[in-house]
Amino acid sequence: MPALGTLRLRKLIYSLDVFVVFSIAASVVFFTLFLLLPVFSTLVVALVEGGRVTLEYFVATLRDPEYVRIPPLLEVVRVEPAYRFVNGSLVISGYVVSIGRYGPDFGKLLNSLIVSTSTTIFATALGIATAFAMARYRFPGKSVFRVLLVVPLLATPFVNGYVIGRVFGRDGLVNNLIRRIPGLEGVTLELVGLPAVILVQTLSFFPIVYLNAYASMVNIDPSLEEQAENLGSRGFKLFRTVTLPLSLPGISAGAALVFIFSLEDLGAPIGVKAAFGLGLHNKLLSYDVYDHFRKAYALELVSRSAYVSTSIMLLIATAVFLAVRSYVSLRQYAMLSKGGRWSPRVREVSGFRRVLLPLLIALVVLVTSFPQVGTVFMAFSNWSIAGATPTEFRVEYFLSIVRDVDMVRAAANSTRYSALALLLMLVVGGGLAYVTSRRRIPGSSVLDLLATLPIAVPGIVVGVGYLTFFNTYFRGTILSPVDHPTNLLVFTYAARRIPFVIRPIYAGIQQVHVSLEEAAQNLGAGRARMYLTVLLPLIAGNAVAGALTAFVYSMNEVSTSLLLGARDPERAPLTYWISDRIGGQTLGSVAAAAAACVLLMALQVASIALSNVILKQRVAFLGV
Amino acid sequence: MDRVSAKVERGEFFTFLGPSGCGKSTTLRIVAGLELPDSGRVIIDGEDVTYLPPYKRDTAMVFQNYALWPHMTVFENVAYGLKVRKLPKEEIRRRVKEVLELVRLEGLESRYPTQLSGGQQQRVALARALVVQPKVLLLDEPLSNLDAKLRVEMREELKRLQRKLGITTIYVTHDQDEAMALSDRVAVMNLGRVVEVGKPNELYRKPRSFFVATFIGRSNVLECRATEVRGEEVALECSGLRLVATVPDSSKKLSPGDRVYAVFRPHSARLELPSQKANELSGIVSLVSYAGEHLEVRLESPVGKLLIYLPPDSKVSAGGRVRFYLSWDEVLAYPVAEVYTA
Repeated sequence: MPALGTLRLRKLIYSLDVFVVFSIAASVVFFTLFLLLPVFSTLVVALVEGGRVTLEYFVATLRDPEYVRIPPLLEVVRVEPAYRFVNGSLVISGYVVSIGRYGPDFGKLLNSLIVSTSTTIFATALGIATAFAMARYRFPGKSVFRVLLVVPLLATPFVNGYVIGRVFGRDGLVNNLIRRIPGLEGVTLELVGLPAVILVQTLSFFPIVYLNAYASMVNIDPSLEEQAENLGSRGFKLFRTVTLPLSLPGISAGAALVFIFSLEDLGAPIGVKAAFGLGLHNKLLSYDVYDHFRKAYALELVSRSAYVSTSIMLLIATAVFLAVRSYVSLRQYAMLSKGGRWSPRVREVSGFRRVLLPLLIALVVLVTSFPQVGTVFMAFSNWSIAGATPTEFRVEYFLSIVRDVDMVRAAANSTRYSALALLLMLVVGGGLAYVTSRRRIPGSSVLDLLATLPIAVPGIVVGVGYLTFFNTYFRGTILSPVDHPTNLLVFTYAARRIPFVIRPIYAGIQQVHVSLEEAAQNLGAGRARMYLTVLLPLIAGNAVAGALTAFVYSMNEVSTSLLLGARDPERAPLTYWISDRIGGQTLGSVAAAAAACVLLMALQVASIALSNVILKQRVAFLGV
Repeated sequence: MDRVSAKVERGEFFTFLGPSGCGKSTTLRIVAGLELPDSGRVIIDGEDVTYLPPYKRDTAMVFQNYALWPHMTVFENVAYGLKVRKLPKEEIRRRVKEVLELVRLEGLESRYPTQLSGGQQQRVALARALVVQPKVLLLDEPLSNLDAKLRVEMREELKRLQRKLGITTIYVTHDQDEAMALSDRVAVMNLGRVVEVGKPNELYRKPRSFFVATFIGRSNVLECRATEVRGEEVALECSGLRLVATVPDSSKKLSPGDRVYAVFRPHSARLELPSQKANELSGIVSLVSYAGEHLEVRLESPVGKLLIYLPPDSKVSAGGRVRFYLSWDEVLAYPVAEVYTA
């Protein structure tokens, strides 16, 4: 009898084939070289000096009042009188209510934490409430709302921040309305600084929690709630004691993502800056890192505090990710089913609630999709130069960008990088999805972790990592961030967006019962033939849907596009071009930026629609 | 699984029978090449195929869930194995048509699996395996997803087909009736081991192991003690009742004083003395049920609760006393000690 060691080895070899081995090798190389090492290198720069590990840079940063301070006053809201000369003397003509201009300012580090925490709280509260209404009640207009509630997910980088800034600015829409209210003619409201960033981010990220919460609630076995009702629990108590706890895994996952995305977001700080100029909305870790690298003449001159900021972002994101991951995986019980599909508990609403509920949801839709709607207005009217409201609707502003050589080139660049990244994602991701779903090889849990890790790593960290790692080891090659920074975008996109390809393919493979593969092999088909004739056709839909999503999210990627694109503007992608134009002072540059965002939104909508069509055409499986 | 060993003859219909989790499907998968054994070998037609991948063995399997490819038509599903073997198109068409006629699915070539009934799907799976003319046909509980009536119909068709084609067949099931009706020989498995191999009627009438005696069919079990051992026969004392029983497994040596389980089947009860070598038992009837071809009569007796089958016109009623007889060779004795170490 063979020894146990060789027996296991033999079994392993028996179950492996060329494709599996290649997939594992490709995944390991890909993630190590294009994610782990670059990210790790940022930690190294922040922690290593003269060959030894040191916390001096961390400590120096934490002691720096630019990063951590206790403000003398917590001036979030300041009301100031506004003066005017009337008949030679100064008179008070009104009041200006400034929210966020003078405070709070706890330093970049604490500011970022405050913003992220607040955004997460607000987005989660709104997301849960909306999800509960949509999951448990039936009311007119619900199917329309279901579509509209996802509008905020349409990416409009920077312009959404600009729109909010304009709307809440001194001459903005909000003030126009306020001045019409009798008694408030002299009052001017402005929303700037951290509160503005919180608002923009809450509106953008709310759908993440909403979708996760909704999915969780809809998947709760109704008998769990019915049992509670049967024992006397009703209404809010039922929600608080049964529904909410059971949907907590989904909600936590969503909230964790919101926190991480908010921490690394550049869209809001840059967008609000475009509307108001530099302000407290830029005293954030994310902007800090971006600014350091943007201004650096040479990569070696970037100050260590930028790396400390990067490392702090990385550590916080990792901690959040790991905490949620273990919590979510332990709590799948809400989806226990006793066999057979059930229909979720949805009840009709009657009376005044029949009007109130849709009204409230409509309000949510209006508010959360405002940045997107505003972007469209910016692109198709003269709003960007007109003032509080647009006065003329013009298609020319939109059409002019198509003739804009720089924009076309930037769009072509984006397309090129995204397409190449997609190829890489399909090869590596497809193989990885297969290995993790089918083969119980030692180490598959590590591969599984790698497949979801990119979601949690802040894009800024990836960008900084690439600028550091590839500059150290790949100088002079086509991967040099000094000579060919934009070549690296193919890899940053692939590394960051690969989960979008892996997940649907993994799900697709899970739905193909392994006996379908075994039957093919049993009848004489080798592995290659089996993959081609049985597996591929059955997961093709999922693969295409994943590819579309990954492509679109590469096209609207921001963090690494800005960090790397800034070093070679001619080959920079579209999002870099948008960030450049949004801050532009020339007439119509903002409209141009908005128009490009409209194109990105259209692309995203088309891909979502196409994916839905494809995935609905899935063939029913096995008939048993 | 533990030291499973079996020899299947050419053209034989051999079944692995056992409760869920006993290792019978695993055995089949090892023969198919879908899994590797920790030790041991698989030899087909004299060739050691243990380490040969599934696509190089000449076996064809019918899966429990049929494993039909939903994106291929019935024709394409059945033709797959032939395409892999690179047969010419005309040949493929001919053979597929032939086999579909054999399983009575003519005319359904262009349907998709999801458009077929359960029974039809099962026949497609069967056709797909038969068409490649394998050396060994493997069937993994193929009838378990069908409803009762269909199951019996398909069972008969399977037997008919196997007889006609003469393919060596290995069948796996937990359903005793199926195993008994279909097989030339049955290997009864439990907890990863083969407990006993034999022809169906041998296993039913004279099972050598206590497990098989109680697993197959219904049985009455009496706790007894051996008083005298005379070769194959043993005299028992069971709660005051004296019985003479047969030891079916001659390798199990009994001594006077050993604790023994005496097992007899409800069928074995006779109202008239069958011969001189018979046991006499009696009891008070507690329940009589009409089961079509016999009466199920439950008795309370000094040796415990008993179940016997009597002819449908027997005059028995609840509360009455019944006396019945069992031939010595229909009462089987199993040493208790062996039962718990087997």
